[in-house]
Amino acid sequence: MAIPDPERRDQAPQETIPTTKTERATKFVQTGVKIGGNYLKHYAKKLVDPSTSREELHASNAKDIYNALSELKGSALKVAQMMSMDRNLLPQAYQEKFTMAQYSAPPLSYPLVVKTFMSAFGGQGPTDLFDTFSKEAVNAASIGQVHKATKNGRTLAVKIQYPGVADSITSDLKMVRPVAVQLLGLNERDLDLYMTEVRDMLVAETDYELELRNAVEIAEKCAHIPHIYFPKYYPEFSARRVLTMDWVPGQHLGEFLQTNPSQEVRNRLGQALWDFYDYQMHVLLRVHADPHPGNFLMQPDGTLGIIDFGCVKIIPPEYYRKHFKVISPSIFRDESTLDRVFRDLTFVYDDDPPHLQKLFKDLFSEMVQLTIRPFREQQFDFGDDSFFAQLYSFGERISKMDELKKSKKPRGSKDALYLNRTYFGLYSMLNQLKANISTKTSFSLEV
Amino acid sequence: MTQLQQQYIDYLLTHRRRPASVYAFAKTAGLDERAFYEECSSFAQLEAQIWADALGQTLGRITQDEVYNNYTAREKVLTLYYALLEQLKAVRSFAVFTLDREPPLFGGELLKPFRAKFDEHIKSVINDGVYSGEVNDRPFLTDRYADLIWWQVLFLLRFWAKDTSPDFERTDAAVEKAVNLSFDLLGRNLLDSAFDFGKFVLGK
Repeated sequence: MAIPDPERRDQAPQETIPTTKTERATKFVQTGVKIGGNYLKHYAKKLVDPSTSREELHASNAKDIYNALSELKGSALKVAQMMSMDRNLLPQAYQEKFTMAQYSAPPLSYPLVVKTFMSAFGGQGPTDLFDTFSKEAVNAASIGQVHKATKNGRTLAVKIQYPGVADSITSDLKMVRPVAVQLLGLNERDLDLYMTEVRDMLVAETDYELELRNAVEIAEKCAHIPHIYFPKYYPEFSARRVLTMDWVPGQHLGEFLQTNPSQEVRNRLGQALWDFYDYQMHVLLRVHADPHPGNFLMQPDGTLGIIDFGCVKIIPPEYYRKHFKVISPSIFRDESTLDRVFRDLTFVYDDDPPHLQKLFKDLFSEMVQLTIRPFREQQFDFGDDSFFAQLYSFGERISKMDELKKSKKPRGSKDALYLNRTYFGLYSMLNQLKANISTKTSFSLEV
Repeated sequence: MTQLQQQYIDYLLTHRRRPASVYAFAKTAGLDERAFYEECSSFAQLEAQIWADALGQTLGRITQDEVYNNYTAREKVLTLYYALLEQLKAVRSFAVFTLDREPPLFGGELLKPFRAKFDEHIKSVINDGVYSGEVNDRPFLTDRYADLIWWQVLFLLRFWAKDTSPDFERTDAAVEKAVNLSFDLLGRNLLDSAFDFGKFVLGK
């Protein structure tokens, strides 16, 4: 949700949403066929013009995948968002398309909005509750849409959920599976492990009352962090499928960057982001696990408005200890500790053959060393593209590794999914901001 | 709802069948048989009246709202459906029970008075839609639009009767999609261009 942006909706007009499971499944099949076609086109073009790049192919694939996914709305859209988060997993062209999925979805009719209000607030419609209420949605959130309202001089954002979202999550996820396995080359075992986690988080996201409680709690506990701002939430105008909060001024990252903010402002925003996440991750052990640009509104003075607490990951303390052990540099100096840590994290199994143990150990060491590099330094320049190039090329290498794809055991833990996603999202935003910040962390093993 | 209607619903749902006779019903309800006939002539008619009343009350409620008149035809139909389903919630068991006995395709006696009222309202909505250009006026077909909408409302009522999702959320989704589809059909669309093209080619 956030500021009105009619142009974006115009880019992807959608008339109808496929309803039934078969219809939706057909959609995915069509996408598969189209992508096959894109490959053919790519190779045909390449015969004629050898300079045709793979980037171009990725771009046309991404467009077709995006078109299919964005028609599905609901949880499939959400999964598209998730995949777009893991930038290290996806080629650049896919990411740009998927990021668009975060913005557009067909709107709910006004009569249904009224009905949703009536049943949530004992027969009172939006015009009874608010002084003004926009008949058209000003923005689409992934599982709902946002209307602008005013009450006693305050401007409010009212988020309304699409009906039946919770119901369709399980079947949507089943259909995303083949896409994830085939198009993105994920290993089936890993996917099984993650699917339950994703489903639980998505179901939690459909409960706006829970979101309200999470938002209020995290906002309260993070109040001391400088340069961040949380909207006030209104329980009296909120229900399971309606959430009312203050309208947060500011611009999304992409638009904000076009205003050419100074390095100082970008650093301030980056620092605010880093401090906010570090505090949640290492002190609260619960984290706003949805760091995509749509959830942050930036103001010219470098204040950061934070919205959308639908996706909050609660980190089990015993897992926290395992996961973040690798931050302390001493681990890599001692072979036997490192072995133990990797076993704890199920990167490596005792019954793996020795050559695979070695391979995975080296691979995951490299991954860990790479991803925690910002923690190793006092000050880190996220504008350093060479760091990100390394991350992406590592991601690309990993996605092509047969040993990983064919692994009969899941590698990694389900709790890691949202933690990694959060850090990738955070890094990626810091990269786009080109922020040079202090990477002080509250990390300690005494939790 | 009249007291007689309430008593009848109570009887119907507790016994899962119609009373053996008006006499038997009047006796259990503690009424004079004559009082029954003053209100209606048969159980079938009584049931049909309950349905028609639900629609009548719904229409009365939505047309009173000032905003309603500014709605597009599509929004008017949506509002009608949502309000009707809300109204029927109060007698859902009765509605499900009686709908279940109706013939599947177009509905039977039960919904006759309901349909008369419904058609009258829908026709005026469609007329407004034709004036505003939202609904495309097609020779011969325009008169049949109301039948299409009738078929849709039957579908939605049956969908709702079988819906087990919390607060009938799936029905809400079905209403959105069904109405979007029908208005995409009623508005100017691909078929009109195809027809126009065909006429041009064949007319030469």
